[in-house]
Amino acid sequence: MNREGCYRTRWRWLMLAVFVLLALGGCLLSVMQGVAAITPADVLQILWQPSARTADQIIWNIRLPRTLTGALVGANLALSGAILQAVMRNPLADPHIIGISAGAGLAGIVVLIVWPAYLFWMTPVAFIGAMAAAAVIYLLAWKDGIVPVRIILAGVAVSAFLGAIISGILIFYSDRVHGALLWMVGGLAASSWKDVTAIAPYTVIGLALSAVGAYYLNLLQLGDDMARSLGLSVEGARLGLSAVAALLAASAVSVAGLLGFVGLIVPHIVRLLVGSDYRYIIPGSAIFGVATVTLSDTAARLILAPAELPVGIIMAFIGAPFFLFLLRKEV
Amino acid sequence: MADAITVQHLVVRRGRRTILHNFSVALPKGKVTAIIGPNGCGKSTFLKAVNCMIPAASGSIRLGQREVHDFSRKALSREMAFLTQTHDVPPDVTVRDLVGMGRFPYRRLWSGRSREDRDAVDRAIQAVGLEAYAGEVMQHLSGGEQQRAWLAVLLAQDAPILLLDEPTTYLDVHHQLRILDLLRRINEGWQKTIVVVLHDMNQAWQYADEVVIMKDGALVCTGPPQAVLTPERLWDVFSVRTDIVTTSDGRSAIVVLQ
Repeated sequence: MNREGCYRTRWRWLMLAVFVLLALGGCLLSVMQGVAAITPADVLQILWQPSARTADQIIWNIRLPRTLTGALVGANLALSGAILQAVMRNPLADPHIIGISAGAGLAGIVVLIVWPAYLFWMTPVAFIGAMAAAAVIYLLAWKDGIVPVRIILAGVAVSAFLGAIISGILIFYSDRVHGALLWMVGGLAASSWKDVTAIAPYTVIGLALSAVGAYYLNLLQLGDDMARSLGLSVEGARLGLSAVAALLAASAVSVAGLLGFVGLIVPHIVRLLVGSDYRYIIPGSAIFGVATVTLSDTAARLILAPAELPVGIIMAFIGAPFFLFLLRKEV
Repeated sequence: MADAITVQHLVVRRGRRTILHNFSVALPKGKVTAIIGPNGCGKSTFLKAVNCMIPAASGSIRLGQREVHDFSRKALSREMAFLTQTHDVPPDVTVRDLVGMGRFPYRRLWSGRSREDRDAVDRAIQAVGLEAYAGEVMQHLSGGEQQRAWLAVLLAQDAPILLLDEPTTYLDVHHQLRILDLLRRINEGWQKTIVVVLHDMNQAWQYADEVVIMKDGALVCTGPPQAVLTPERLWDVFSVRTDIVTTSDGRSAIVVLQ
């Protein structure tokens, strides 16, 4: 390898290291900050040696599960977006924007409200909803190949349609919906250890599958014909990778609701910094997704303290202008 | 000489249009075959059908004795490498990484890059003369160099047959000839069967062993350039007047007249 290649590789690893530091910093801040601020030293001591003080209660029962849920949600949404952007060959693809989250959300809310006894099946059902939404979007957008703008338009339509059904259910069952509004914008306020254990397995599986898929994602960037002639069965790869993206989005939606824009912003920033090679984009997106959501959630708790905003509002404030910027630049 | 690819009664439809009508042709092994014909006559469709990228409505396409449809996608890509007319590439991919993608047909799910892969990539980059640019990113390369990098991808694929769809179209004359010289060298040095769609009948005349002339989705004729590229036939197919002239160094060429 020549000097430039060596330099590039080193730069990419440096960026990944920066992402790791940001993610660790985000997690630490998220545990420290809130209505009751706790110093970093205390946080580390409490994590190391739990006791029975109030601060311990706050950290172990409230802050830590919330931080971890946020971290895993961030990783899953960012990975889902990174995969969708390559699979749909669309820089604007994001599980929220193209309606996959809405599919997961509708399925999830049906379980949550109509059959609360089957809450255990929340994520698998949300996954089916996400896959169904993805299939509908493909069908609507497919006409002699995939055109980026058509996917976005189909996604907006599907999203609006599913969103209307969700709103209808929420109104119809308004007595049963506690915190449904929070769920609609995406929030971590009620996160518990149960959420952490609900999402963690999917993060592990999703990360492993995306790592395997990185090479396929790189090939898809060469265009369908070239990828096919290099031996990739393009339809199969697309279906499999879409399923992974849907699984990741569905698990995130199951615990945090319809949190948008993470899957749009994070892969873009990562791509800007480490380049277009998915062998780096995948781990980079997962780690930077952790940093983004933990930091945003911390900000959401501090901006109007002692009241707190749902993290989804912060993400929308950052994400919507970012989306418009990309729309002007890339489509 | 054995045939590398035998096509019989091939019919390809796209939507309601029939692009190839009952098309039969045999492409000889180890030769450079040029396909020429007017725009829209089905040249690209033919190459894509041969490489199973678009379905055939009927007819058979055989590699040696075996139907192409019986190969898995990966197995087929070990038999045939294909360069599309236009191709996307992320601007920041290095030549070496791009050429490495040519090794995909030999990859197993969990295996990393083997010594064999690395050697194949090095040989391919060397064959197209891009050793000095191996670590360079694609967007810093000129059009001619980018095209050579793509040829290296095909060589890394290590398939006995190369199909190329207008590999010279976006290049200036000098680089067009460099690519064709390179194809000739690859044909002779690597014993590859090469099937190339060309626009310039004079290039077909100079570089090809065999010429396939197509018009309106049907075969007009096939044979050595001197036998098939006659002024009468070129008038029939392209509606242009041509003449065969002898140059001062004793070679011949086709000139297109007003």
